[in-house]
Amino acid sequence: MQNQSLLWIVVASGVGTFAIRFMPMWWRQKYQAYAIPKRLEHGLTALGYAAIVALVVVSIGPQLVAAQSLWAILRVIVAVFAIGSAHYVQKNTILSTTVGVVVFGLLQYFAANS
Amino acid sequence: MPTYNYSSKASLWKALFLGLRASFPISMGYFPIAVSFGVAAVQAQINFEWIAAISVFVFAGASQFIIVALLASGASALAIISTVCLINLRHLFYGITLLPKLALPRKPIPLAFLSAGLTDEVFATALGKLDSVHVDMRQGWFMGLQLGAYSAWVSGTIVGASVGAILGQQPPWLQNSIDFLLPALFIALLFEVFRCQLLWIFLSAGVVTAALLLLVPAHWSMLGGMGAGALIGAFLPPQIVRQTHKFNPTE
Repeated sequence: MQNQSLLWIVVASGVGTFAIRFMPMWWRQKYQAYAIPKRLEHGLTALGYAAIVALVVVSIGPQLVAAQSLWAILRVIVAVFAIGSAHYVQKNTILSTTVGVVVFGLLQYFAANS
Repeated sequence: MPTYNYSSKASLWKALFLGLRASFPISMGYFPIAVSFGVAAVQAQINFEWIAAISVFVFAGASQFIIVALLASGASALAIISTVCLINLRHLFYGITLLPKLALPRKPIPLAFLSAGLTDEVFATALGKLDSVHVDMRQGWFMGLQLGAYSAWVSGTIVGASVGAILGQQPPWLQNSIDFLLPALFIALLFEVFRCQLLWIFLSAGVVTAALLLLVPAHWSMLGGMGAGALIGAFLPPQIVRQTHKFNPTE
């Protein structure tokens, strides 16, 4: 592809992505004096929590569906349990994430070398 | 708790530093994925300068891989640009959701900076953590969080594009473990924000996303799941949803 087309793609994709992130914040801040309906406010609050669940599902869902054995699914479940346990002991996201990845990595390693 | 005067540069630097520190799990996940993006782009015959430019100007993980795939397949510029924007549509709601937590009436950092790096991972981390950050430090903290994620992404891309050809294939178990970094982060954040009172929101979002995932691409199923959770949240008793705001500065 020619450099000019690539330039268009990079600039327009960048500007488009930025606008999608920026415009709603700008709009809400500009019109913050206008009260939004309570239901909409609650819906927007819930949206954030729903987004995290949706991210979890789309990030591990395909792994579970593509799993070729029960053991592969079990590895994910054990790693999730490890993350939950680490979070229960110490409410630290970095630690919980690291524990989960290390447990998952060890299970992967042993499965590959057994 | 100490009070921080946001006009003090030292406090701003401290908030930035704390945000950078909080970005560590994101960076851990971003760096290897950005390296693999750089490698994939090199294999698609894209020049180093353009690979770096994509990460610097677009900064949106999944859609960057799609840019590379579509470029390799010879798709038109218009098709690529519209696909990228469609995939990133889910980001429309992230800013509005975080806005009340960012204490914008207080000496704002320009909104353009606060929104530029609003990726899935930055959003999820900010949503889980912002309530525990002092109100006066939130904007600086959030900037630090974005800067850490952005630096990891851009530096990973540069490493991947520079040494991609000689890195070679990693063993599958290691690649799978690296791929599990971001899901692990999302799961940890879910534990962080989980409240029993909000169970119906979590359940509806999860079930709808999972069901849609069988029918449509992931970015559309995410939008569907988010919509379902928001709809349930809108009709939950107000006192339940309000409990989720710990230090909402606008109230």
